[in-house]
Amino acid sequence: MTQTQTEPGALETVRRIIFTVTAVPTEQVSPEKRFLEDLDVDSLSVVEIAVAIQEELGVLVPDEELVQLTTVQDFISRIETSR
Amino acid sequence: MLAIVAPGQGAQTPGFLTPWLEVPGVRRRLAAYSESAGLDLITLGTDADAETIRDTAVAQPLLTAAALVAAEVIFGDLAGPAIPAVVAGHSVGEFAAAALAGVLRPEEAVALVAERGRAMAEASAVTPTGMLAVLGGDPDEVAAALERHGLVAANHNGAGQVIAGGTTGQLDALRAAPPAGARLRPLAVAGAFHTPHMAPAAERLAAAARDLRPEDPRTPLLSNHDGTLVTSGAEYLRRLVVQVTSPVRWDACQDTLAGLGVTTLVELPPAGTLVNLARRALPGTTGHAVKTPADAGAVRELFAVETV
Repeated sequence: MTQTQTEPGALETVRRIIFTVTAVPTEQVSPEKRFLEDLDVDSLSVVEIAVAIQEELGVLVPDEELVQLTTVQDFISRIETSR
Repeated sequence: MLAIVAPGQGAQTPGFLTPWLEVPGVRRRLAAYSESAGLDLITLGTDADAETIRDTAVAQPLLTAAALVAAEVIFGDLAGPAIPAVVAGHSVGEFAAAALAGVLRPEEAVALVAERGRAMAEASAVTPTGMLAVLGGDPDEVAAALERHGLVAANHNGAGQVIAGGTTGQLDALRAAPPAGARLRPLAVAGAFHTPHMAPAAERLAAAARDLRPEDPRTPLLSNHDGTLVTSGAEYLRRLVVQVTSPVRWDACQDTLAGLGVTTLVELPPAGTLVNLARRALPGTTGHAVKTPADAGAVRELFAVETV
């Protein structure tokens, strides 16, 4: 069964982590936004976000996969598929 | 207080110049810069693929030209009134900064940086070297780990970000034994920039710079060497040569920007990296990443308001 509704929890968690790592205000972070083009979050910060997600949620995203995560929704989906 | 900053290599993406060509006059300026660089910067900035524009011999003049045309769209002719802002560049961004501050003419800056790019590409081919981002961890432990492996801290970017440079063997050794709590990330660069491995490139740059007659900066101008304001054009040019083998102290530059009371940071294209760093290192400032002509228009409004 495909999850069609994003859990509010995952989005809020990702928003909070993005804010902690990059100081991008939570209201600017919506699922369709791309890290680099829309949020000015560069690839090194994306690595830090992945580390924080790993530490907080236990979800490990290997580097090879990380390069393919370009939007906020990509992270949310990645978190949800590991639950 | 406004700061205008030019980024270093890494953020350029295929086609990033395409929107700028729609602005009247930009194509002509890029054609002039292409002459200075000996490269077709228009094609490189619009059609070339990621690998082509990652080549440092291409990236350096391309980034410099991109920053300059964006600045010209915002401020008009750079030989006109002095830009009412503190100016700084990150690594290769220091060449665009030289032109923004009036130390070099824009075409001179592009010609000089093209030589730097060619020379660094060649120096990178001598020994296999590279760079690695070290994110987080305890700063003292990170420094000790770099020293232990014979690596140089080539960039100090602030916000817990250090870029290590050295031979591929040394980098591999660090990856095998990373400092506690730090995450490592290889950078797609051809060599260990800002380390002694680039010495042959520094010599070539020194030779190319010899015949230039720099002017003193017309705006406050920061130096990557130590984050201080440089008031002599000749000194700034000398430092451009020294910086080829010396670490970028962007952390010190950010400290100086904070001390100067900078409230707004405008980053020229390909923008994003420095605004990103400033969010953490310069809390309370507003960042403007200029990526398109529309962004340039918004920044022009900012300056109009601030100079009233």
